[in-house]
Amino acid sequence: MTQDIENIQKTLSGDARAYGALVDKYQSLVFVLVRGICKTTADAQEVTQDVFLKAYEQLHTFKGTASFRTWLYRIAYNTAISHIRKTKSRGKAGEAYMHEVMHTASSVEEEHDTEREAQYDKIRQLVEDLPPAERMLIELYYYKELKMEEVAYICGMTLSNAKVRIFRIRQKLQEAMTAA
Amino acid sequence: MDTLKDFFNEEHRRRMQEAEEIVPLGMHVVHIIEKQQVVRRKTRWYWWSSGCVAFVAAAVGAGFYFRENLAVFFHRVSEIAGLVTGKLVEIYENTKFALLSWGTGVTKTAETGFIEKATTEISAWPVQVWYVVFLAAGVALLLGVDFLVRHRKPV
Repeated sequence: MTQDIENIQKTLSGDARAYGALVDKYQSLVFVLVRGICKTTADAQEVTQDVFLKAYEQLHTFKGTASFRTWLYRIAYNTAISHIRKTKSRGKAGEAYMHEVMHTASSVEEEHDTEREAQYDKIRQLVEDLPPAERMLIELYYYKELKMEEVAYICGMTLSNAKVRIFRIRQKLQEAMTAA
Repeated sequence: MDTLKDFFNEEHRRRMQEAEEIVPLGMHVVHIIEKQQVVRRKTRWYWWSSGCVAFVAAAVGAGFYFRENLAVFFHRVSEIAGLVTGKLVEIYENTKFALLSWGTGVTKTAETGFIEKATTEISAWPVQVWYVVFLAAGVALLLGVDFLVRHRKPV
């Protein structure tokens, strides 16, 4: 954390290379978050790169009230939502993503039982059909490293609002899974 | 609900595996940022230079087109400047006189005191002088605010 602050201050005073260290440290976390909404790894890498470029532009607005990681997630969340909207308007990018995931899963883990794979495919489809904000919210909720307060901050909601919305999304998914 | 949790855990595990395989983006991002900064500096420079050229051209063109009005305007400005200078000299003389009187212990002249004299002076100023004074004060205020906003310390 102190190292992050030091790197941020260096970056703000004009040392762009200090920012490189921050990118290297957090790129995996951002990548994992945005990977779910991109059809290929290359796409996800591009969105991750966009997130860091936007973060650099807005770095002077970082007040330190939240950790740098949470602040970065907030930018990633907004970038990811814009990306979902863009790709949705361009066509069903999600389908290509699903095919890629299915292909990887079947070639690498052939021993997995088909029933579970079918269930996961169904969930994947249901998650992809959610509105962008809900999709990101549920992704963040199940993101192990984040607390509920952080999820609310990233999505720009109050804690109670975030809890209620997550409850409803989970209920919706549960109902859709039972109905299937 | 456990299925959902398992699903997302599985997804994250798979994505983490992918993340481990990607090359570090740090230097690449830094390189892009540096490129963007160079482009931004160039663009800003082009805008400034073309803006200055356009301004000078417009000023020269307007000066040529409105040369008669300009002559009248400058004549009027020189009149006002002469008036203001005369008044300032007068005020300076009066102030000097008042200070000298005060310094020597004589606080009032035979007719009126310094404040009365100054009030009379100011109230006699023509309205054009007040326009110039308020305009200068307004510009100074705006420049001051601009300076403070630009040089504010980051919180």
